Amino acid sequence: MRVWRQEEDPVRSRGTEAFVFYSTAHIVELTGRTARTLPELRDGIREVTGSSIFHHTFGALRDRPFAAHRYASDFARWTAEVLQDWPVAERLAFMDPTEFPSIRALRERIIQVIDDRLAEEGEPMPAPPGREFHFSQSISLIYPVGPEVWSLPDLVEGIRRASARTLFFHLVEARLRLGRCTNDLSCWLADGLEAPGLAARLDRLDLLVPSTAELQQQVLGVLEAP
Amino acid sequence: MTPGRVRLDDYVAVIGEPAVAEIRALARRLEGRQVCMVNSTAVGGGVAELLNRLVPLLADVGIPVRWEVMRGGDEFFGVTKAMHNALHGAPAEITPAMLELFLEVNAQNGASLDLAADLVVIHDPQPVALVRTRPGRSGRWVWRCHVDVSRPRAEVWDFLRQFVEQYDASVFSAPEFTQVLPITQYMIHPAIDPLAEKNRDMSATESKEILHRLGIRDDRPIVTQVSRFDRLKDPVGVIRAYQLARRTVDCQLVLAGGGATDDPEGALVLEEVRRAADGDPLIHILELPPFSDREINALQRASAVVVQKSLREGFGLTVTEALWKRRPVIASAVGGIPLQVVHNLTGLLVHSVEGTAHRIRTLLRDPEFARRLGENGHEYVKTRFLTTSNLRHWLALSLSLLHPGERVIRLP
Repeated sequence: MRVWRQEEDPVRSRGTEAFVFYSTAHIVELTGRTARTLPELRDGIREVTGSSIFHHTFGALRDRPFAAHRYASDFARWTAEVLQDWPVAERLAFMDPTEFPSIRALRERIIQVIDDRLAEEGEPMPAPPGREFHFSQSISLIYPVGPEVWSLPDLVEGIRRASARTLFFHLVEARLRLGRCTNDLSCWLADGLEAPGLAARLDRLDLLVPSTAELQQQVLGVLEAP
Repeated sequence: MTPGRVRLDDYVAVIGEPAVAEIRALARRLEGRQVCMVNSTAVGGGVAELLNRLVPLLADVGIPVRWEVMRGGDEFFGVTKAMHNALHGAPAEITPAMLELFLEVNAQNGASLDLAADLVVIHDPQPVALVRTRPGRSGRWVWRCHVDVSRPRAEVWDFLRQFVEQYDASVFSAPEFTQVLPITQYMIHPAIDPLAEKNRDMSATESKEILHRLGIRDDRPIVTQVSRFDRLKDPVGVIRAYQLARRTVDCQLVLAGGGATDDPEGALVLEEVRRAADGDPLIHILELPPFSDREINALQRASAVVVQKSLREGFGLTVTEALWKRRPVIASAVGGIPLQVVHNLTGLLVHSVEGTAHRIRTLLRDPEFARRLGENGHEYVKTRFLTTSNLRHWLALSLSLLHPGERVIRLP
């Protein structure tokens, strides 16, 4: 049986601040910029807005959780499916966007991967007509949903009732949007509920799971573990 | 125009109560803002079908919404049909008199329709010139283009473009369908209604009864393509792929499309299809009458594999419908299909007859793989291509227009 120190018994504690559940909606804006080759893709990645990098990485994870381990970004998918440039596609597929603290860091790493590939031998193949990469960008709307949460049991209940978009926001998107150190839930557990052990366990979750239901179960598994 | 009653709560069983509650919460941020949708027909066609769902759903979440249908007449719609063909790149003779009629009808409608709203959405080219009669600069005007205008006849696009540029923003169905414009371009994918007759849940018994009526036995796997008989849908290519696949796997083929009585080219294609089928009793060529949604639903659900071997395609809503029904899909990588079919994950993308044949064999021999594709496809459609996603996108777009220039909008 796990024994909590007095100050780290989250089940009985009332937080020092409330946790607020948020949801998101996105509208996609077309930039008109396209890429036909790997160098053009690299140049685009270098020059488009952070919202565009967000859209093609985190947006892809949000909309295609079942593809997370194969195509963790639109860039990985396009280089594999269209260019069929497996060396770069595999490296991009292996790159987990959630491990990066900022869009800037993520963008730099993607550019580096493509530059490394371009430095290797071989002429980059162009995409066939009609299969160009289209750069888009997301406009994100973030808004509170549901009642404020002050305790762990209420948080668990909130997680049970949360939509896929809410879960994705707090576990993945919030760290970028709100400049948080880690996922939003862990921050609140550590700071608001003063339960750093629980927060650390939540931090260790693999977020690239094939469905939101699975992600929800993992989070509940951590929060409800004895 | 007053559409039928549709309530967002009807979709709780499809997307879940939390997702429905979040859409309502988003809509509350638009409280008091009026929306006006304008198109050219109340019934028939994809846009009317879309508005028949979207308008009542907007009303149900508390948005005061009107649907105005422009009046035209046969001559006007003859002009807009010619324009439509020209936007798809087909040759069309558009005379100055036709353009004059186009402008005149738009001006008459501009004078008679009530276009005062915080957000006015003009659908497709027919009413595009209404923007000239825009009352003052109040409200935001958005042109929603459902047509692929990427390869238009220049003279027609240049004529329409002068009006498009007067809007605050435009909305296209896919990045591939756009033109370079000086106004902001958003993307909202087309959507299917999971509660419509064509997509609603259907028991195996009901589906079997319908197949029986259509003369199809379910004693061997069914491979289906649902499409009008049009060369761009390559029905003869589908037959050749089926014939190649049949050398090593047992299956039957269903080609289901609209009747061809009023379409001379359709009749020719149908004849080519019959010749290619060469009397094979396992190839079922079905000429379905209009409003055969129940039959299409049954055919898609009963299929072991759904094919869409188009040579050119719009968004490809028949693919969306099949994915929603958890069917493994084999489809050409053209038009909007790659937006829906993630190769090896929600379906299989192909580029040839042989590729299609190979993939038919793969899916019939590996039902577990086929099942996985179907499950992923269903989830993908649920996330991105349902009526409810469409509603959320319109709410998000309306809100973002109130915060110009902001990419991350924090709402209270």
